[in-house]
Order: sequence, then C-alpha cells, then structure tokens
Amino acid sequence: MFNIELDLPSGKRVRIPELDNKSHLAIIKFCENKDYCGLNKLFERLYLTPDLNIFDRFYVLMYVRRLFVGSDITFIGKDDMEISYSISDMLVRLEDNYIDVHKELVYGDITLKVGIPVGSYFDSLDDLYNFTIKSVRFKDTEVDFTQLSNKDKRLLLDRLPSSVFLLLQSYITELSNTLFDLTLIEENKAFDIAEVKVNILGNGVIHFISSLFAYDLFSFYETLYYYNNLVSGGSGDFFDLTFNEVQLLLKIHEERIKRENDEINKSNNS
Amino acid sequence: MIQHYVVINKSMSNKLLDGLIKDLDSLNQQNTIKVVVPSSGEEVEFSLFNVSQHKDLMKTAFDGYEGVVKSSCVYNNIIANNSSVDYDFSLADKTYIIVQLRKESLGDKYDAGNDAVYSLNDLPEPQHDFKYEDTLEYKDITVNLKIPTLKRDTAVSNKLLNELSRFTDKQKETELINTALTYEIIKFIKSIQIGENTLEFDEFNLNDSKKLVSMLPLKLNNLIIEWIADFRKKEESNIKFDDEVMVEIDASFLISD
Repeated sequence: MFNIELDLPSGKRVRIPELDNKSHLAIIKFCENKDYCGLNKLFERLYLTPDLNIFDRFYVLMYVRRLFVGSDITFIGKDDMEISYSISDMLVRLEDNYIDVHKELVYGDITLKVGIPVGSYFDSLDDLYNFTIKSVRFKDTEVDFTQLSNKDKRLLLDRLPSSVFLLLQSYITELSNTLFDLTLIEENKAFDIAEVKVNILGNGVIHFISSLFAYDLFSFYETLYYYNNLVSGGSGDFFDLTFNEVQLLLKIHEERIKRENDEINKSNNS
Repeated sequence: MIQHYVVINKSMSNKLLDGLIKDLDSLNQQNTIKVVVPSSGEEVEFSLFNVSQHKDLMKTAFDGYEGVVKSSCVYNNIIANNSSVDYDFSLADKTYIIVQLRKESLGDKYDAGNDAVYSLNDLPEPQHDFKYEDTLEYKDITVNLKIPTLKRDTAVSNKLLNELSRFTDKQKETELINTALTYEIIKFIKSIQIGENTLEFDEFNLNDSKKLVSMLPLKLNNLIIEWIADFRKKEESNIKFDDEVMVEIDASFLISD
C-alpha cells in the first residue's frame, strides 16, 4: 500500500498510509455521532502509534485530512459567502508553536520522567496523568510507563508516595499554562468569521479534528453514486480509492463530457 | 524471529516491573505511621497516601456535591486499605486518622484557601469522648442510634450517589438537600422499634430504611438530627483552628502549601 514519509514537529519521522474511502466513511460516521472515543480509536488503528505526543498526533491527522480529503476548510461567512482556509497554514502554525517540555520529577530515590501527553482522547483525569508519565525510576530500575497496561500503571502508582503526585500535578498545571489555546485561524471581522483556538492539553484537539473530517454523509454517498454510475461503471473500487482521487476522477469525467458537448455543439453549428 | 524478540523484551519488561514493584513495596514498608484509633484505643500502623489514592481524590474535585460525597468514600477506603489490621473503623476515627496521615505524607502545612497557611500541628488536642450509641424514644417508637462504621458510611453514601445520578437538574435544585439529609439519618440508625416490630438497619434494606425514615414523626426526626449534629460538632471541634477556620477533609485537603 502506498504511504508517505512525514516529519513531525517533535522531530520524529513516520510513514502515513493512504486514507481509503472505506476508512474515511467510518471516520465520517464517528464524527456524525460525535463519538470522539471511537474516532480516536480508529485513528490510533490507522495512524497514531502509542509513542506520539498530542502535538504530533494533531499534526498527523491534519496532514491526513489535507492530503487525502481536501487541502482547505470552508466556513460560511457574512452574506453566505464561502471563506476557505488552508490546512497547510495551520500545519505551519503547529510546527511554529511546538514546545517540548520534558522534565524529571525527583522525590528521594524516585524519578518520574514526564512530557507532553502521548494521547489524543482523554476519557477521564486518569488518562491525563497516565499519558503524561513517560517512565518511572527507583534507584537503578527504570520502567517505560507508556508500554504498561492500565492495570500495571495502577499497580505502580499505588506504590508511589503522594508527594510525587503533587510534583506531577504542578507539572501538569505548568504544562496547561504553556500549551495555551493555540490560534489556528485568525478572526476575520470583514466576513464575520470568529477566531478558532484549540486547547492542546485536552479533548479540544479531537473535537477540532472531528470538525475537520465531518462531512455530510448524504454528500459522501452522492459522490459514491456519481462515481459508480458515471466513472467506474459499477466496478466497486470506490472504497479502495481516496476521496481526493475520486473527486479528481469525477473532475476528469466532467471535463470530458464538457469537451464532448462542446464538440457536438460545434459540429451542429457548422 | 521478530516475535521471539518481542517476547524476550516483554518478559524483560515484566521482570523490570516486578523488580520495581518489589523495591517500592520495601520502601513503603518503612513509610508508615502508627496512630491510636479513637474507637478502639489501640495503636494501628498505616501506610501513607499514595499517588493512585491522591489521583482518585483529585477526580472528585470537579463533581460538585457528588464529588464531596465521593471524596468522603475515597477517604474511607484509604483508611481501610492503608491499615495494617483488619478492623471495622468507626466514622468517629476518620478525621483524626486522615489528619495524621496527611501530616506524615505531605507535611503539616495546610492552605485554607483564604490566603492563610496553617500548621496542622496547631489543631487543638483532639477529644474523642464520643457517645457511640444511644436510644431515643418518642411515644411507642424507639430508635437505636450508633455512630456508623466507615463501611456503612460508604455503603449508604454509594446508595445516595446512585440516587443522585438519576436526578434531573430540576430535582437536584429541589430535592438534593432533603435526600442527602435522609441518607445521613439512615447512616446513624441501628434499628427502629415500633410497638413489637423491629427493623434492623443494614446495607441490604436501604430502600425500606429510607421509606421508614421518611415516615417518622417530625419531632423524632428532629431529635435524631440533633443527636447527629452533636456528634458532628464534636468531630469538627477537633479540626478547628483557634480562629474558627475548619480543616476541610475533601479533595483539596491533600494540597500542601
């Protein structure tokens, strides 16, 4: 399967497989149902590895949207005027605002390595703490916290003194002050478009991503109908293609029809 | 080959985790405190607060009134789980044990939220001369009261939380105080005797207990509330500073200066 290499804000490099219409349809359904937990699980199955922090996750998902669905997002402004914003610009904003805040929290012989949370959906406060801790060290023994099951995480946290929690709590407060609401789209007073800000530390990211992917199911099926009936002749390959590819093929088809109509008109006139 | 490599890594990581847990367990065996339990007069060893318990408490901080009830249950569980002995602790033991654990786990500094930081060592010498059981009589009704155990306190609180979770916002506005008070009364009743019939209050008949309590004569109901208020007043006097500022035993109690 085709994939693309992508450099992430953290400096990591990943390979992004194509988003076919089968997965795209599942994403739209999750968005329509406002099922952020399910949507995140699907993204984790398709694109997000456990080691990616929320900044990188945000970047990957916006990139996928730009590359395989469409490069702009459109708002309806004043007098029903359509205003488009480039997702590439938002990606640049993410890169420019990336902050790496790794820290070691030390209490006696216990050291917690912490950093930007490695999750994109927070079901409860537990997730925020669990995604923030990277490793736990006591004297010479260090365990990679991100690789542990929830049960093992709990086992370990049950044994850490409460003072460590105060350090963790204070780190998260510091982090939330640093990862302030990131402005992705500036206010446009002329067209009555409000500023779009996303709080990186929390579910603001998955909510925003959901709004990027949200696409009217009817329009999606309409595209499927036109493609199957006008372009592919019912070959059934729609779900193997990306949405962008289908739109491109429909455009080619439309241009061909236009050209043919023009030629018919021309020959009729002559 | 790759699978084999993963298995080795996983087993190495499990060994590391087991080793770390063992090391932390030995560390925690040293991090204990001995507290004289008011209801028994016996000295009991307790392990200190841990991260999971602190986290569980923090989660209750955002749940309004339900959060207060939940945090109270979390503290009950902490006392039972951190105790080295299997003992049915009384509600009268709660504040004293929690304050001692807090001082040893996180220090004595206490931020009362009014820009003033207090030392928990400045709390008055605790008085534990509680009346653990009593009998109230009204006409042909006899009510046996008892300061509940933490186990009963948690069971009744969970029932209250369950009921509150089904409340609409409107019901919360109008019925919350009444419902909470009814369950508070239920906690303290050991049994009610009406004529020759006696209902022993336990964890399995909370619905019947609630029905019965709501049918008690107002006068008797008020006598029970007064008795509970006397206990609460005595309990609060142990956690009140000289300037009448009281220590709040909720999620915020574990935030040190």
